[in-house]
Amino acid sequence: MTADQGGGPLLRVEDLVVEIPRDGMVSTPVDGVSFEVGSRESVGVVGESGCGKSLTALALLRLHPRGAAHIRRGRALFRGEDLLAMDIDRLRKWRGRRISMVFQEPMTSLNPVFQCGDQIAEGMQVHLGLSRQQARDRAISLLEEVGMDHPARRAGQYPHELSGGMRQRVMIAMAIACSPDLLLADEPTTALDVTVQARILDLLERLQEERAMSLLHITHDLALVSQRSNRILVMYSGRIVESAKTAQLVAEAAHPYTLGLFACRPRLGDRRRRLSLIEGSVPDPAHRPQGCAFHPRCPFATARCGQERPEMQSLGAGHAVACFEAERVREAGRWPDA
Amino acid sequence: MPEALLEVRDLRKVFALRRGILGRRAGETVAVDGVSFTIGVGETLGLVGPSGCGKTTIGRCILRLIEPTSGRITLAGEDLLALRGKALRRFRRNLQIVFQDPYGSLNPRMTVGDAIAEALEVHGIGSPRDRQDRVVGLLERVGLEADHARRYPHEFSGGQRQRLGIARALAPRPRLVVADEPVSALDVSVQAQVLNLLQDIQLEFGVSYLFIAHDLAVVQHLSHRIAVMDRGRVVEEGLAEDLVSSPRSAATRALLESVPRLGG
Repeated sequence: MTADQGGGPLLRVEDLVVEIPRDGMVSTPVDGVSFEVGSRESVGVVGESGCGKSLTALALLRLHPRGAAHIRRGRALFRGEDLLAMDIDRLRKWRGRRISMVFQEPMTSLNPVFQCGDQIAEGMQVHLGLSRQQARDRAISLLEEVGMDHPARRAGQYPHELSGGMRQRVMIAMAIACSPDLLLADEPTTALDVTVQARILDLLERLQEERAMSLLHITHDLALVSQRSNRILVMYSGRIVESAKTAQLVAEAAHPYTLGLFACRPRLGDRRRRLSLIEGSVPDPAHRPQGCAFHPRCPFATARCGQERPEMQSLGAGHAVACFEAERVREAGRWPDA
Repeated sequence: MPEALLEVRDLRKVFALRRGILGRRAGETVAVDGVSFTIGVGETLGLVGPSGCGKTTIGRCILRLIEPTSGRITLAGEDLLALRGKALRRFRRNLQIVFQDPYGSLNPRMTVGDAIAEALEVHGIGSPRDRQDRVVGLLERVGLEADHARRYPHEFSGGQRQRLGIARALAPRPRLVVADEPVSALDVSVQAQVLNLLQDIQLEFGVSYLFIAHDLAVVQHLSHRIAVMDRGRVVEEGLAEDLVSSPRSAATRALLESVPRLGG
């Protein structure tokens, strides 16, 4: 493992823009994203489907769909080296080794015709130069580390023989096999039931601490990351609209979208009331509204919001927001009821 | 307590495990092990439990999509398990289902208007002209537009597809809708829209719901009463508020602990 480099962030993304040319027009599903992930930090990225969260993560590893999308501009400095500009062969050596990824649907990311143990072992043979037997033994101890019962027997099983939760554990074992510095987890528990979800999140949290990894956890469910991340980035329509330490975001959210995401989840004990809604849906990036992209859905919007696009501004203490009405929103403290 | 609409008594479903190409019987698994409950008119019963606890099997037994091994199911006094052939098909308009994955349950080659009209046609409801009007009415009721009728399922988002699934289920004016994880594949923001829709529709049409899900926060939001399942049995049943505030079983407590809460 590499030592920390003078306290700078592990990953620093600057003004990332990903474009998709379509019908003679260009849409920008990722439209100028900047953020940092510190060493050993756990960062949550939250937003609805279509906000550009997954594409941002894929673009960092240059795994975005090549024919369809391309990186227009931006830098992604990982320990000071730009992932977006480096030689692709070099990046290939880093994928899985220094940065790895866990996806939502393990069934489609695991190879159905190979035993789980061999799939976990493969990366260690390639990246760490272990022999087949060494890698296989290590795979079994990794399966144990991610909480699988009978790890030796599981290593010999095929993905279809495992439940959804177990497959996700296999994916995680594979992702941490080469001790990466950063794990990108894209909706790792969305396909799972809540009890299994809680166990997988506990596992990620434990691994992140024990292995001194950084974690970027992408999800549509703000409540999920609010319990476990150090910091949260809220994304809307291709841009980060609020960023704060988790406690700060929960206590004094300053973007209406953040309040909306808090409000729409049913709470225990709060029954049979109409849920607060963020009406409408995320705009198609090819047809973004003028001004603030959120203004048509925003109960706090003013005339200015339909004309000018707000930029991120600091509210102090690591809290930043892109909203003209941030003060009013923070004072209101909640999404207005339907 | 409202008048009973659905009564399930001692429901049991045993699946045979078969091996090899000859399908040799190699054992059995008891998916549902003696379950009883009642749902009143206009009432929602939440059926909650972890994956594999048998909740989906119960929903399918009630719809006669699979045959229970034993037990008794009555809907509005009619013995559901005694119905055969034509009588069963006719009776089925009273019972509809909304699935988790609406995309998998809509025919990709059929316009959504035709898919909804078909649900009316098979039950002999209305003239062709009348059916078109009803389709438009249903689409508008679930928050879509009249001209969406001409489109195909792939042209809709996940949340819109679930609205279509609800419109299709409502078409024959059922007394009971089995909603099997209707929001668990959706974004939280879209979940809220669909939950509100289900609630509004219940108030308007007086339909009863069997609401099956694994997330207790979602279930308790919509349900009057909740039955908690674990390994094929109902381990706890009660009014939603009581069950959440003072759970009596370990299974309920485990589900409560798994609910993501706002922290920080």
